[in-house]
Amino acid sequence: MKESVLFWPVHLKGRTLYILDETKIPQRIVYLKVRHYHQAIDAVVTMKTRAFGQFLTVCYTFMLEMQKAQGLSADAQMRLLERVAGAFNRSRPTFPFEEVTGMVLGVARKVFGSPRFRQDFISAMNGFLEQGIRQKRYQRAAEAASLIKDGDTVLTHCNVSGELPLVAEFCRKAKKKIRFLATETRPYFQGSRLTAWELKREGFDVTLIPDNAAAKVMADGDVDCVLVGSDRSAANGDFANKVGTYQIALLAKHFRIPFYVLVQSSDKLSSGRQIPIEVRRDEEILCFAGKRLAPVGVAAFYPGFDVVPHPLVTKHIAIRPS
Amino acid sequence: MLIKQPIPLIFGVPQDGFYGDLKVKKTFVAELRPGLEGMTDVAKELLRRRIQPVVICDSMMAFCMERKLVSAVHIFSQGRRNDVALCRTGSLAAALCARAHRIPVVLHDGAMPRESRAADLLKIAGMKVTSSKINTYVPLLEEVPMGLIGHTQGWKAGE
Repeated sequence: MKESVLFWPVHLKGRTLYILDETKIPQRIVYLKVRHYHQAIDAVVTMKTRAFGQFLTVCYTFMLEMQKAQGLSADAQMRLLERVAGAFNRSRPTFPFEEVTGMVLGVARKVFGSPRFRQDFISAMNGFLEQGIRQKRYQRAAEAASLIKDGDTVLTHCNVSGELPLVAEFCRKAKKKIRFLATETRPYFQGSRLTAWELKREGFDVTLIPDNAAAKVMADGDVDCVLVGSDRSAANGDFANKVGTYQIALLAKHFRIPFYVLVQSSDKLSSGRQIPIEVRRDEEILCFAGKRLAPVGVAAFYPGFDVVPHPLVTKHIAIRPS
Repeated sequence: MLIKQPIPLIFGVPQDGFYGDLKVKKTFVAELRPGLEGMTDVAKELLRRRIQPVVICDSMMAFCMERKLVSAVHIFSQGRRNDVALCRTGSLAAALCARAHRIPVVLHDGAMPRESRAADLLKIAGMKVTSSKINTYVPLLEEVPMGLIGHTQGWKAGE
């Protein structure tokens, strides 16, 4: 199946990591060239990459640093991996960096005794990503498609890192005609710039709506189900996603519309209450492309994420840890 | 900005009389896409009256309510018919989320919203956001059941 560029937005070629700069889409498809882990962390903090892109950035950055660590002893290579892990863990609060870096360090510890430690680590990570994660995302998209009926309109929020066009493609193959309503997802417009763009580009029926129109389209009977992604989940089924997801989940409950979420199962946190919510700078709401939108003196409040409690979820469509 | 105590949330464009009754130092203002009248017109009027506007995106209302940062929700109607008020789109979401969090909803007479064209959603303040080939839907008004409203205009400002 043809994949959206957002489906696998990070690539490692030799000693260079290529990270898709999602802030430049749809004007341009540009990849940042990263040669050191500090640059990768900068791409995460400045939101050049996000969601699944962050996950790939973490995994590939470890591989990048090991590519470059040819002359170091195995002990020094392990210490380097631990330094990289620590730096990612301090980068942004809501995404579960510690879980991802912990998993990668687990892979490293498994092959640590090997005389070809460096090569074995890179090879194990490649297998984990290509045969593991990529295949599981395909399975998850197929499961989501199976829940959507012919003629349905699906409301979505933010961007599911290229997985929505895959869901639509599975529906198309099953001869189901579906359409999407995408919220624009202020302040970064992931819905306008990424979701609506990638669905339109792949030839699917998509209409963009303001974030404030979610209740209106539900009240008018224009939404058959909601499908969103998630940035982090808890053992009880609560999950965090781009701010606005909770609002849509509450509205879906009121209008008795099924609410589906694509999640990565995790039991590290017992409930969503334990997920830290990142509060970002006022300017990210009050400015766009360097131009101020609001009068001087106006303040803003920008929580980056919200938590959806599990009773609002009709079904979790999960990637389960191996 | 750090919010320590619950403050009101304004969703819509009030008539002038509303501001005079608002006896608070700080209030949330929903930005009101696509025209951003909340972030610009409403915020400017609040500043003029020495009330600090704290702008949030239209999608952040429920989060602020869930975190107990909102004391009351103020919405504004263009007219009433039977048991519904005709309000700026987004007012229904504000009222439903307020009910879910047991926050009072107050209805006032509103100023007429600026007409937005569907294409305005592809831009912000005239700057292009995404491809002009994308279909858009920008409903101006929606019906809010009067059953969701706690008070109408007779409320005491600052409550």
